[in-house]
Amino acid sequence: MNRQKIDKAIFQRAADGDHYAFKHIYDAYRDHVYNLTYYMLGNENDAYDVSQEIFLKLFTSIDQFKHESEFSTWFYRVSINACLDHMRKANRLKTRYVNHTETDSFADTSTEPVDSLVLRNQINTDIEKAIQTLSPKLRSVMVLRYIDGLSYEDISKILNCSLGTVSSRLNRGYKSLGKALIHLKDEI
Amino acid sequence: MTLYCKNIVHLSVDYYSGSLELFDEEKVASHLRDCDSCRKNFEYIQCGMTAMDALKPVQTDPYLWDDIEISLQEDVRSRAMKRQYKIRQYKAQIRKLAAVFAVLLIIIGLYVSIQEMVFNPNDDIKPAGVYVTDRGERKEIQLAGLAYIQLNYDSHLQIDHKNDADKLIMNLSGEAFFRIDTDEIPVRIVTSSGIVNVHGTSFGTRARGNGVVVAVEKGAVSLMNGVKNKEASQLVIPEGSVGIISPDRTTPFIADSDVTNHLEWRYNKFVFDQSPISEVIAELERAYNVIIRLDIPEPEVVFLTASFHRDPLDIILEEIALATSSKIYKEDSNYIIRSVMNESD
Repeated sequence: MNRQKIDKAIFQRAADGDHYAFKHIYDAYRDHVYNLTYYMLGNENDAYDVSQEIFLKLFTSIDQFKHESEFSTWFYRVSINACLDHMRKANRLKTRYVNHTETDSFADTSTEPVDSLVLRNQINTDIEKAIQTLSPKLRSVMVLRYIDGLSYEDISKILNCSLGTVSSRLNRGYKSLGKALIHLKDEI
Repeated sequence: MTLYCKNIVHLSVDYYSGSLELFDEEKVASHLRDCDSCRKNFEYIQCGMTAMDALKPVQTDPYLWDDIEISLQEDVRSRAMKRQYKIRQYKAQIRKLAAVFAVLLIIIGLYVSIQEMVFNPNDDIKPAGVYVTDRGERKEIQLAGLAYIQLNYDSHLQIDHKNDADKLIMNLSGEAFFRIDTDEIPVRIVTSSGIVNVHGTSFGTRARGNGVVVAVEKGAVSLMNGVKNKEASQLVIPEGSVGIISPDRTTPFIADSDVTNHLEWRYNKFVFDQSPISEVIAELERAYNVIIRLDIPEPEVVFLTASFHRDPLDIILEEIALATSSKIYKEDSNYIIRSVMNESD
């Protein structure tokens, strides 16, 4: 996903309450925020609510930021925390974080005679389900890496952890995901 | 260097993303050829990375902005209401503070008025009247817009003036300091030995039966040796000078004397410059309201030059006794300064 650069002046205008400046920032970040919330929370309804909450929070505190680099780091941190808060509130940590062995129950789509588009959608759904089986910590790193192609360094700043931790979590995340989806290896 | 399984775990992502150095990459590939366990792990990781790469981005709900906009408008309205509420609170606080401030001003005003009434009863704004001080007593008199007067111990001042009068006349017996604030009407100080005519000036006047002494601090005064005497002569005493009319009403003259010495009484100091000892004793009697009997031979030829603060009288008398070879005796509240020679008699 490509994100257009935002001029410093836009942040200043948004901080001054300029509606159009705020819409400009929304347009630049909406897909990233929506995808982040979607893959963190696993469904559109929650992604919608939490994305709205994140942008409203941005509106009330944007005057604290002058530079885009600081802004994106802060904004992703706010977004991840909003997702984790939402998960805690909904008590989803327990229900969604299932053991890896349960992933064996995924449908084995490779045997079904379906056309390529339907098969593609089914594979995507299986990947989404597999992502939801990851712990929130692993999922955060994976989603941030996926959403904006963020560097280890940016991810470590957003999640406030070391580079080694980011690397380790990515390895574990990919491995868990691969284990869950190994039967689809040839279709993916 | 040989790579072990534990070394290789963290290189897997970089290996598949192609970000390893060629040297490391060959070592990882070599290790994977020989290690089934790592090869299996790498297969999972490669599958996971491929799955994430294959993941399709979801489309942002087109209605999200509409809902955000509605919420923003509500938020703006809510902020405006909060702001208005805060403004109302501030206004209420300002009103309270203003009320408290007004009450404080009233209290301060009342306090000042009471202070003036209770503690400064002599600040009379009505000029006409008689002001008397006893021994040991001094008074301040404020004639609004006309003059400020300090009346020294044991003095008498009669002021004759009406609001529409074209002059201010004061009869002085004793000692006083005058600061005249008006130059619109003539001001005259009348004593038993002479008259002081002034316009907007400050000076001290002493009229204690032995003539008149006028010490001019600022401005100038004219000193006249009689009122109805046709041969009266008049002398202008300039600023910083001391004018004298002797008891026999001879022509006034300017004395070679320091003005400040004549005004030190205002600051609770006694300054005597070649003063007859009888005059010194009389001054102390007035200040301390006591009787001091002088029992020394030929007191009329004893003169004293000294400066005292208004310390306890015993201390001052001890110093005088030392200078006159005397001793101090106290009877009730009265004192006797007795010469040592008289004592031996």
